[in-house]
Amino acid sequence: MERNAAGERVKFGIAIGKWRFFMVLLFMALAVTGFLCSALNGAVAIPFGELGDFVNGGGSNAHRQILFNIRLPRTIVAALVGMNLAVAGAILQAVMKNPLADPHIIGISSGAGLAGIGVIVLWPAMEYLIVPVAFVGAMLAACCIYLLAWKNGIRPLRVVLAGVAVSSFLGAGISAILVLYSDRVHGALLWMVGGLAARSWPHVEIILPYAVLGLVLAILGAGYLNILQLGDDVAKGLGVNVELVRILLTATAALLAASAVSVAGLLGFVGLVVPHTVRLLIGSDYRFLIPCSALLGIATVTYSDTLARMAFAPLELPVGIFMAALGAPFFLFLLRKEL
Amino acid sequence: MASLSVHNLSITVNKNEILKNISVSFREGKRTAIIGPNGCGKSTLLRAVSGLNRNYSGEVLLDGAEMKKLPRRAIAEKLAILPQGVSAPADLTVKDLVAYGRFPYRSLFKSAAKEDAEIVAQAMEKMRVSHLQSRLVATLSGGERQRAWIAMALAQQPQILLLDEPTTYLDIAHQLEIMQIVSELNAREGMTVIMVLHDINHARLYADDVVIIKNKGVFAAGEPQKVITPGTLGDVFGVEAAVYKNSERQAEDVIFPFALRR
Repeated sequence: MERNAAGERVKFGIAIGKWRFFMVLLFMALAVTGFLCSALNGAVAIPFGELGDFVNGGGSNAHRQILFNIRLPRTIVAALVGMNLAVAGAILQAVMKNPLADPHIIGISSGAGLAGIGVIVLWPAMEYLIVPVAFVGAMLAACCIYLLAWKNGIRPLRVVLAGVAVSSFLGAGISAILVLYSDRVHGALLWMVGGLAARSWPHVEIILPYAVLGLVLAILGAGYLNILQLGDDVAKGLGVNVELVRILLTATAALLAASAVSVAGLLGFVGLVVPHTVRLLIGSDYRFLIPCSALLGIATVTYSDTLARMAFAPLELPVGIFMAALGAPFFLFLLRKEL
Repeated sequence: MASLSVHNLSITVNKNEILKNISVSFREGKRTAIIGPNGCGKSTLLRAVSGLNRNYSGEVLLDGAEMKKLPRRAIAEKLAILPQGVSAPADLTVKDLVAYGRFPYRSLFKSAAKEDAEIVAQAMEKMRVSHLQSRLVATLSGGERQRAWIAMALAQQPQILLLDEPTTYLDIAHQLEIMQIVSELNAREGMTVIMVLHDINHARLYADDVVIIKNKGVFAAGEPQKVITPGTLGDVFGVEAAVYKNSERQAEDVIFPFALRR
């Protein structure tokens, strides 16, 4: 973070308040344009002007079908997945006091991964159950890690270490399944990379309630997240029941991430990098960090998904690959500039 | 005014008994210094009386109520503690830090009120950090930073202020500044101050009561001039010390440890 001669907080010569306001507007603009881009572009492009016609009940019927049955639900899923993962990562970074914390750390990915791949490979006929099963797997893994890390309360470092251990344990299970059933791994591999292909209204129905609930809880918890950044002792001294708050916020992050992973597979990157990017740009005040992470998460996944569909059309790349390939260099650029 | 006392307090950390059957009452409106050798349990005692550590047996009473049973928020409205080695996010300003002191008074339905801003301004005024309010905490000097943190504690409007080695790592001028401001607060507002101190002369000059911890228990307690003597320093720290008259200021004799006791 830069400062001027008086030591006041500025960004690129602009006072932090004003800068933050502009950044919020920018993130909003990115989220909205990303959403529109994703909804209107693809194998068949729908002109922007036609949106007005749809509202009035006009427009081409084919375009209407494509928009409302294919693009819109997929875009909504993309937006919610991005939002959930980014907000979950932002929460976990403060709760675990660890800049490397992301939904993987609390076992969400490995839990969902093992459960999901188990279904895909072992009971392919039950594939319609993959989302709820992955969700249950994710929550179970998160609970497991929390119980294992519990000893006179919760210490972040113990959670992180227990998370790494449980994740590698479950990871061994995933690898074992993939090796033992190598003839059936194609679907499983695609799911592990994370993708949004053929996501539709049922997926929206699964993720939407958790997204809304999680976002509300995260915004309500922003004040507590700020205090947690001062350390456990100071937080307790300020009247915060640190253990309880930590459990509730971790549960919120688990809900957000588990619902996202269960509909979109193991989408990495967003949960770790989006909150860090936002933090580098607007600072560590969680009252701004949570909503801005949500917006930038929406923007990142919707834009990436659009590009993943368009870049090698008609071939579609999984969005996870695209996001990491584009996002990681950008993040490194920011990191070099700031630190 | 809030009273604070411990009765038959024992604390075990990782199977090591740190304090055994300690009883102390801290006088209201007075400054108490807790001193003792490294690892004697001074900070452990402070963490127990502040409610930070609730793993103890015996009683810690805040206004007659058992500390363990009080909600943290209720404690935070009466008592503020500044632990050792605190750190803030790199982009936090002094004003925002001090404003966190109002957190115990917030709720989901009641956010920062106008009076909060006034209380925060007053706290910064008292700790002489008003001119630094838009600076980043991370860019302040050690003394300024410590004053900013104490200002946060004052914004809690506590009746009891607990400080864990507030002058560690500060130069002599900043050490005295902290001790003097704290003493002024105590004199002007009758705030009870309990602090763990390293400097035995600070304890003599800036405390009304001294508690010496040694061998898991209270070695001595009472008026600083009577408790901190060459004799007790020899028994507690194993040093030879002598009292030197301050020829300029009669009331302020100093005690100087000049050698390890053989």
